[in-house]
Order: sequence, then structure tokens, then C-alpha cells
Amino acid sequence: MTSAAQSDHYDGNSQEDQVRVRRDVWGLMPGADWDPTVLAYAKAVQVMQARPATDPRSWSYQGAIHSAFVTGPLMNQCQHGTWFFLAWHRMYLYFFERIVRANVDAHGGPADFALPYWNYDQPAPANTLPLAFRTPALPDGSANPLMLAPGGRSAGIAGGAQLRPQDTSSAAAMLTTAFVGRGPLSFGGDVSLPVRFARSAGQLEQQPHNIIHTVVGGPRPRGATDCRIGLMTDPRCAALDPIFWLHHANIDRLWVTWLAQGGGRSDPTDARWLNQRFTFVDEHGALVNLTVADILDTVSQLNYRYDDQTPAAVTAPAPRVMRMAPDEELVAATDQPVTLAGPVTAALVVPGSTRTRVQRLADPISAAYLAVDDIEAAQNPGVVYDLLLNDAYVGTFSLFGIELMNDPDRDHEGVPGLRHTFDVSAIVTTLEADGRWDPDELTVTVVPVAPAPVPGARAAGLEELGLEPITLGRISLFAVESETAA
Amino acid sequence: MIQRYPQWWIAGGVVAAWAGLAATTLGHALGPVHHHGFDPVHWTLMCVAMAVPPNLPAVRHVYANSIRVRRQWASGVYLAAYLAVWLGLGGIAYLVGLVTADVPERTVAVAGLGVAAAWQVTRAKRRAVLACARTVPLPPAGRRADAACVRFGLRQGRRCVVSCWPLMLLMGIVAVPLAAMAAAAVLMYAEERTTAGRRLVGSAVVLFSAAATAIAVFG
Ligand SMILES: [Cu+2]
Repeated sequence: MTSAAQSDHYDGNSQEDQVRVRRDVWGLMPGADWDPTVLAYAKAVQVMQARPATDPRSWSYQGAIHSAFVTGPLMNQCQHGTWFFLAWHRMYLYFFERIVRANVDAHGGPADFALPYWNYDQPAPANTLPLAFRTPALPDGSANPLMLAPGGRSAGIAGGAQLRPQDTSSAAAMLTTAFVGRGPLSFGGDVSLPVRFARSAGQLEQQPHNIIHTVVGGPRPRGATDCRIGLMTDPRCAALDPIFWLHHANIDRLWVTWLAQGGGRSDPTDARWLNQRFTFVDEHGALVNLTVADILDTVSQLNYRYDDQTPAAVTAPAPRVMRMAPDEELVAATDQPVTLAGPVTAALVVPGSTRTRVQRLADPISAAYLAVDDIEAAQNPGVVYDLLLNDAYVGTFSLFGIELMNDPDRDHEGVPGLRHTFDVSAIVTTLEADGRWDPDELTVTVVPVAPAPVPGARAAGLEELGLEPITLGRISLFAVESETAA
Repeated sequence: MIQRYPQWWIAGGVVAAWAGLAATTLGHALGPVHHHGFDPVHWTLMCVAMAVPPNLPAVRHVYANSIRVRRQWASGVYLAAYLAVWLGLGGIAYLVGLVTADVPERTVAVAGLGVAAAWQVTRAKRRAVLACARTVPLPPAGRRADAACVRFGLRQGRRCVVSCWPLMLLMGIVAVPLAAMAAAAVLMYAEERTTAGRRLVGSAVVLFSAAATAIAVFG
């Protein structure tokens, strides 16, 4: 780890002549027969796991670059809850892929190796853990490093249970039109400032990214400081689960498809974003620096694309919040923190002065969003939470990353208390049409979702899980005024 | 303008406090003799001038998270609680002023800067800076809403006092040139509000030590 290579060294033409294609893992390996690319990935993981932990190209060091229980050079760099989330993880994946590919090449290919991705937002079996990750042995009889020891992942998911459509959906993220700013509902996250109160993660990070982490990992033992149980649930362990990289390849792909939708969607042009520099390690163990501007075009700058980059067909109307002026107003909120270990319903208090505003929310010139703030939990409980407004489903959230936000010694840019936001404009309109929108009877309901059971087994109730309670400081309803309204 | 910067009255207060500080410092400079010691008016001006600016984002947070009719009121309640903590530190400054009344001002300044330098590298200081975006849930209306603003103000005030007490205490009992106060205010602001300032937390040790040495050597 000596010289820092020039970033333009990685212009994609230096090593390869053809653009690599990252493919859907379920397309590569729909059955039990090992696909060469997936098998090559498994063998590379074996090699990386055999390297000493001090080697930056080892499995454990690569995981620690994301986050770890230890500290060291280049470690604990992951960017969550800010507008660097997508860019940082694209770089992280890119250099990881180069390290893996060097091993693949050294062991005879395939020559066109690229990291597969897992598109879980499809019907079964694609919404179940890819088969290669639940097969005990490789064809040569050696232990399959893609399958974790029992407990490493949520038992149901490890056993082939389907993910819920709510958990895999990127619909809310795909509907956003702004990468950053213009209210709390952005695709890519809020501007990263040293101090930003109630910062929101981007919609894609919130759902499906955070949710997949939690439902795949499942609950972790209380206060665990090792990475044996529920790896994906804790950022300090997540990248040690080989499925992490396929999950993030899918998130990276969704960034490409979001842009491909058009309709004004574009990456930020803010110099603070474009010029932000991050440091990684390449396949030779050399330090490399890249700026965000260096990685925005995967084909011309990084020499890869995805086999499926077709934009999702947008069927829902464009979200109203995004078209509104950033002037927003609190109109209702819970008036006490809500502590829950099971389903709970709380009233949204509507003060007299905001009553008419709340009544008018169904009006197309108004938009509304729900925010969940000041969340307190000792750790991510390993379950996700469904949020309902007057019994209508709003969205799902997960506390992925809360351990880092809780750590008083970690500079996570002052993040503690990330805000989760959900566009409810369309839901309010529907509720109004059904005669269920009454300022005197607004409720929010939060339902912890028990992990999926192993297929064929009985579902464990929430009580049996002994969930650690979490506290939601406030759930609030904000009204956003239309720009064109007088 | 006012809509974009709804806390204009707070900014006005900060400007007025600086004007007051400028006037008193100038007065001291012209006056014949100066004894160091605690002056409650001077202390209040200092708190408003120096401790409020880094906390404006928190005031904005209260504003943005209150219903429209409560926005200014809630901001005020928050700020009053926040300043109350600082004025409480004034009591300690008063006592320290009494105890050090017979100590030469130069000695007090050198010792104070030494303490400030040492404090910069403590874990408590670091944690106080890192915790600056911690919030308190704010109910929408009624007594609960006011109580939450007070709690948030007290919590932020305590955090901020933990972060900056040595320097403020020193400036509360020793006559300091306006330029030095301005420099301290810039530092306090940068530590909390800028990425570069965050990295400066440790480097400020050098700054304070250099200032202490300069005073010790050149008076
Ligand atoms: Cu992740």
C-alpha cells in the first residue's frame, strides 16, 4: 500500500477491451447446477478468506472497509444516510470486484467474469436467497463459503423463504425525481454537512436497501460484538456475508435504472458531491483515490453494465411532494414517544390551528409526508416495521445502522436520529375518497414484522422472539404547499 | 428573506451583543485601570454573541418541527433554555473570578489557556462535538410541546457548555481584546459547523498553547 494511483488509471480501457456485464444471479443459476461465474465467485471468496487479516485484499479487511468492530487504516468508511451512499458503495463494489476478478483470472476464468447481482424484487424463486448461497458444498467437495453457518442469516431466508413484496419494492424510490434536496423525499439522500438535523436517507437506501439488510440478517444476540449471527443486520458485519455484494450490485443497478427513467432525473451537479474523494485498495494492494465524478458512467468510466437496465414502467402518478415548494409545515404528530415490542397504534394529534390544513390534504394542490423521528434502540432488532396511516399501508422501515448512530465516539457526521420519510399524498386522497380522512381520527400504526419462517415450518409469533423494545420519538405528518398555489 | 431566515430576531440579538461587547472593550481600553473579575452584563453579552451562532441550526430545527402558530414561540422557549445553561455557567465564572481575584491577570490567562488546551483532547470534548445533532422529540402543541423545547434547549446547552467551557470561563473573568473574542467565536462555530473545524478540534491545542506561551513571555 504505497502509491496512490491516479483515478484516470481506472478509465476502463487500461485492462479490458470489452464491457463487462453484471448478470442476475437467478438467471445465471436457476437450478442446482453450478454456474461458472457463481462458482468462480465462491472460489475467490475461499481465497480471500484464506488471506491474513492484515492483507487489505482479504475477506475480513474488505468487510472492515465498510465497517467493523475494530479500527484501522481505510476501515469504517461506509457512507450511510447521506448523498454519498450510492457513489461510495459503487466504488466499494468496483474495487472488490477487481480483487475478486484477479483471483478468478488466476484460476482460469471465466474470462468475462463480473459480479452477479440479486434482483429480489421479482416473483419466486427470484425473491428467495439464490441457490448457491444455500448449498453446503462446492462441486469439488470443499465447504461452500457462500453459505453461512446456521444463524449467519435469518433462518427462514437461509431455508429458502420468500421475501415479502413490501420488503423488496423499490417503487417509492423509483417514483422520486430528485436525487437530492427539494424536501425530504429524495432518491439519493440529503446533503452531507457536518451538522444536519433530522437528516433523511435517500428513498432507495431506506427501501429496499435497509430492509433487505435486516430481513436477510435477522435478529442478532443482544450486544453482540462478533460477526457470527445475523451478519447483514449490523453494518459492522454486513459485508462479511457474501450475499452483501450481490445485494449492493442490485442497489447500484437500481441507480442506473432510476436515471434511465428520465423525466428530469439526474445526478447532482454540486461540486461538493462531484469532487468528494474516497480511498480504496485495488487488486495489487495499492491505494486508489476516486472522486464521485469518476464513477458516474459505469460503461465509459468503470467498464461494466448490467444485463437489465430497463427502467421500471412507472404506473403510479408522479409523487406530489417532489413537485412542491420546500416550504413544509408540521400539521399533526404523536404527542408522546411510542415504545413498542409489538404492534401499536397511536393518535396523530391535530392542533386546532392546522385542522383545515389537514382537511385540505386530499386536495391535489397539497402534498403530505409522514416522518418517523428520534428513534431510540440499543441495536437493530433484526425485524422490519410496517407503518400504517388510518390502517392504510404506507411503507416499511428498518433500523439498519442504528448501532453506528448510537456510538458516541464515532464521527458519523452527526447523524444520530435519522429521519425516515414516506410520501402519503396518494394515500390521503384514497382515504378521503373512502370517507376515512377525519382530523379527529388520525392514527398511525407500527407493526413489527416477524421474520419469515423456514418454508413448511410454523411461523414464530412476535412474543416468542422476545423483541427488544424500540422507541419512536415522534411520528409526524407534514403538509407541503404546491408551488403554483396562491 | 424573513421567510428564509425566520430567526432574524435572533441574528439581530447576536449583532447587538457584539456591538455591546465592542463598546465595553473599547471602554476598558480607554479607562485608566482595569481589574479582572466577573461582570454579569459582559457575561450575558458573551453568551449571546458567541454561544448562540453555532446553535442556530438547532433553532431552525425547532422552528421547522413546530406547527406554524408556534414556530417563533417554540424557537424562543428553546433558546431561553439553551441560554439559561450558559448563564448558569456564569455563576461558576463568578466564583472563579472571586477565587482568582488576587492572582495576576497574566497568570490567570496562561493557566486558563492551558486548561483549554488540555480540554481539547479529552473524550468528553470530542463526544460533545459529535453529539451536536442529537434531537429531542417535539410534540405538536400544548404544555408537552413547551416542555420538550425546554428539554431540548437544556440538553443542547449542556452539551455546548461541556464542549467550550474553559475558553468561555476564561473570557468571562479576564479582559480579552475584541479580536481575541472574535477568534474564539469563529473557532467555536467552526468546530461545530464545518468539516474542517471538526478536524481542528485537536489542532486548537497548539493554538491555545501558543497563545499561553506568548502571554507568559511577552505579557
Ligand atoms: Cu448496505
